[in-house]
Amino acid sequence: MRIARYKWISVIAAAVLLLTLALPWNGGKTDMKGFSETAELKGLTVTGVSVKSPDNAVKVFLDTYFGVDFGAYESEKTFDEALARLRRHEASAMWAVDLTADYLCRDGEFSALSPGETPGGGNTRFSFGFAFAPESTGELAKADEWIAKAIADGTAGAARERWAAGNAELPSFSEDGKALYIGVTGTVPPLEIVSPDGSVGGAAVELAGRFAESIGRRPVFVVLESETALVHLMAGKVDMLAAYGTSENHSMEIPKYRMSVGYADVAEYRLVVNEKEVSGLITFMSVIKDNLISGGAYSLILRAVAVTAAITLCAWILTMLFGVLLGYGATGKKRAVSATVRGIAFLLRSTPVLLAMLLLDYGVFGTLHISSTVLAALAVGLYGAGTLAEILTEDDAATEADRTFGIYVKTTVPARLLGAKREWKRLMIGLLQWTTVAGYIGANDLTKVMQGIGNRTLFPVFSIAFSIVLYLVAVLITEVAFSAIGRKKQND
Amino acid sequence: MGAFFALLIKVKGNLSYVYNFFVETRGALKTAYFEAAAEGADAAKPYATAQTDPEKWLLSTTISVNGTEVAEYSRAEEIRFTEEYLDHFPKHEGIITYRGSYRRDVTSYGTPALTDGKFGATWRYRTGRFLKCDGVNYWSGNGWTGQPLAVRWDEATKRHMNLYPEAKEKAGLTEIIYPGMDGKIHFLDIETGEETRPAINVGMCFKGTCSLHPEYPLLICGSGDSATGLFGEQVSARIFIYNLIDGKKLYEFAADDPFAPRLWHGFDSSPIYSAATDTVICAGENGVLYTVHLNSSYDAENGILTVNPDEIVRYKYESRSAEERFESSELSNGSGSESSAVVWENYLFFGDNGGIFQCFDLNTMTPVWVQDLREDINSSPVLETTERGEVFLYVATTLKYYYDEHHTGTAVLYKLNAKTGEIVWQKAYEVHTVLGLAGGFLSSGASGTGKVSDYIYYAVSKVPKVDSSCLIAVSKQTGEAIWQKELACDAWSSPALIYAADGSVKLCQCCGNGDILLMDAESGEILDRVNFGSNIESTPVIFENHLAVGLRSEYIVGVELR
Repeated sequence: MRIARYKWISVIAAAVLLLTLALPWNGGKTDMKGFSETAELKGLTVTGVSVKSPDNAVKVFLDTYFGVDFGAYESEKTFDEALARLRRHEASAMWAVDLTADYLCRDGEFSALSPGETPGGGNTRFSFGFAFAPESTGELAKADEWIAKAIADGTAGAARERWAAGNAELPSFSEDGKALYIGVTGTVPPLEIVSPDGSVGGAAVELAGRFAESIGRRPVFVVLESETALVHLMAGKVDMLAAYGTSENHSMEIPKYRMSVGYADVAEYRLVVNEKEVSGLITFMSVIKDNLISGGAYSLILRAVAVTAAITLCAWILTMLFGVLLGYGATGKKRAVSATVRGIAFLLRSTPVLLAMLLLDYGVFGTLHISSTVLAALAVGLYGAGTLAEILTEDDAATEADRTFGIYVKTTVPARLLGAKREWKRLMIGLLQWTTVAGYIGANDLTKVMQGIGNRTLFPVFSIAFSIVLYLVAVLITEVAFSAIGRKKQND
Repeated sequence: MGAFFALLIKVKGNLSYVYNFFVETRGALKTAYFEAAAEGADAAKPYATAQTDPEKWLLSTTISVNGTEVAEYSRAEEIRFTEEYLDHFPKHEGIITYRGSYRRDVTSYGTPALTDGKFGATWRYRTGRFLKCDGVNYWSGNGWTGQPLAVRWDEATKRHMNLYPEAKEKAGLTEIIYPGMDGKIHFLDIETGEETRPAINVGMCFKGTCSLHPEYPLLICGSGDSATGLFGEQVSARIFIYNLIDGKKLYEFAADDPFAPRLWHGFDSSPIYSAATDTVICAGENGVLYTVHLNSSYDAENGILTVNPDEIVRYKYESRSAEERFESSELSNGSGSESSAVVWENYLFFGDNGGIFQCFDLNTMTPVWVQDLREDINSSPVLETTERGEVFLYVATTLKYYYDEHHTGTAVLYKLNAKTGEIVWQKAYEVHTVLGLAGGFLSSGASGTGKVSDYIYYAVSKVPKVDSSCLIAVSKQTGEAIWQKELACDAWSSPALIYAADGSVKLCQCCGNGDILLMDAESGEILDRVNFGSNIESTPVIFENHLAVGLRSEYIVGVELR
């Protein structure tokens, strides 16, 4: 297996450089200080999880709610990412509802600052309840009844207390009945928690699971991003959300989604600030341990590698099968057919892969609850097929008008691919690289998992660098495979 | 293609508005005069005629006392706003409510020299913005009626207040009190624009005009929109009572009111205090009229102010026209009040978004007469008492319901007999209503006295062009325009009259293009102009030779009048 020497050396050098530079030699930020009043945060950066409102609107809200002119507001896609920023002191404060602030402050790592007097101060500002799509009026009525009972008999309160203490576990739920897909965003711990391995927990999740059982359904939890949770609900990807805000409506517009009564009240928002300093010089071994071993990280990484490999291999297979078909159709005798196929191939290779993924997730298969791994492979594979068809039809095949499909597959395609081996190889490597966006639709691929680990350990640069190294190794393996194919053909 | 898209943006995607951007309306139409309608304007008290019988226009009325519905009500301590009281109101020096009095006819305080008839020095103060309940857009600066108050506190009261030391020391300090769309109540020196004390961060936006108690340092302000939050929650608008000694909130009410016929809760209307009975009267856009017995006390010696409200009486009604005209939906049915009411004796006069205008007995909480004006009433009425003891009302509408296929129609200025509700005259203007904004009378009238005692002044929006307006001086007797000035921009702000020391009468008009005009009120001649670069929707306050008003571009500005 002969791979050009420069490629091996490049990958090894990159690995060493990246992993070395990624070490936090300076021990993180040193210019931290505690805050005892919201006024001290004037001009500083606040973070939080992304919500439906854009960041500039959220800043207007935070400025007026807390009566402070903050310097900037920068949101993160997940609660853990926002918390990681706070832990790294890249933001001076993070907004949270009062019950989340209490949860975060329970062990002294954080403290929370309250606003001044607010309208209706001290009373319930809003509540968290279940959110349903408009057509789910039956489930909504049952949910209202069930929540009222859960509050009255103490079930809801007990669940909240258990999860607030920080050591609860999700009970097992019945496996019987039709699935009820429940969206979980992890935005409001301890109501909703999403762990790095994608497992869920929290009082709202527990209550949602118990509610599903009460109506004879099997709860299936689907992890969603906060910003797009409602969109997924309206698209039918999930049947309900475990936790969303509900209050009296005064806007003269009927919301498209339906809210149950609340099971957890919120009186105010708070600003969570970091009481802990980032530790000093970290040894190389402790970085390896924290990012690759501790907390089951190695298991997460191995599973993520498997997911990435599965998406890549499936995409390659789809690329080859469908790409060959498109190539055959594009060079057919009938102009109408060949023009149509060429048009389809053009669309497939021109549509950005991420947008195709989102279209499949929200639109085409939105209500079918198909695995995001499969959808990612499909999106990447279709792009690959469109590109492969272009490679196969570069010479217009007017002279091959009489060929059959069998000859095309056995003779034409291998010849074309070997003749354009470099482009074919670049395509396959490109497809591998495109799998890195699979996390946008919830697939736990290598990129997403490593990013999550980095947010947890506060060394995101190291985990990103490690991911790059793994992808470079995968590229080398692909190069080896193509080299072997080339040599075999040569020998034949 | 570019020009087409630019046009599409201008008409906000609705091509039917293209007509309005190219065609002018006829503007002023003929005045209709009904001489017989003035009869009975000098009667001892109001009464209904066949045309204004409440049963003709209302389906039902409901009264609630402290949350319990009652069949009838009789106020223990009767409210009465006598002519003498209204003539000498208030105890504070300054402008303490919308248009300075509960007749809404005092548009400036004091008699400045105005020897030059020009604007002088200006100042600016930065405010801010507040998220709207859609969670994306925001309210900014000051707007709608948004008139500041201006008070020259007596030294004894100032001594107790949480003013900054330099403000406390300043002799003759005149303080602007200005709740704004940024959710805060700002306190500024009208002469310099400097803060006199820390702003109160209320946490809800204000677009109406607040009221100060005629005798105490007690402020009532109603928020104009729900607040929202990061989970899309709606925090209901409500009415706040603040202690201006220490800036603390004393009380809030009217939030999430289950008695209200409308989901929309907004309180732009400027409240009215009956100091004699310790009762505040607030009309809400949620369709409820509130009277609240404050049970207040003020120890002036020690600066201690308390309230302990003990009777909240609510009134709502259902009009026959609501279903035809208003936002009837599964969420909400009914009309509410956006304009400020006026009072005479024990009667309150107020209008709603559905065109219903009522004379209402505050001591029995029942309507006396009702007149249907057919269109949205945003302009606050002005009450006039003549030397002969006649009482009249000037009320005007905006074009919201009865527009034609070209989005044009009539907005009307009415003179009503306050005793009967009969229409004495009506002056119509053909206006545009486009892009969700109604044309017509958004401003309130400025009723002249002295040299201009026969005049009443209004700004009429979206006439004859969709982006222009007219400033009009109308004869109170005949309803005919005495003069009319077309402005090359829209105007919502209410005109203000200034009575100079030399006997001349000036008029100030704030405009949508950022102009503030100083004019001769008799002739309409523009004497001077100053421009602040952005939309001025709000109505200014004028205290002696200083004017202050808020801009939509997040500034409060002040101008000296020389």
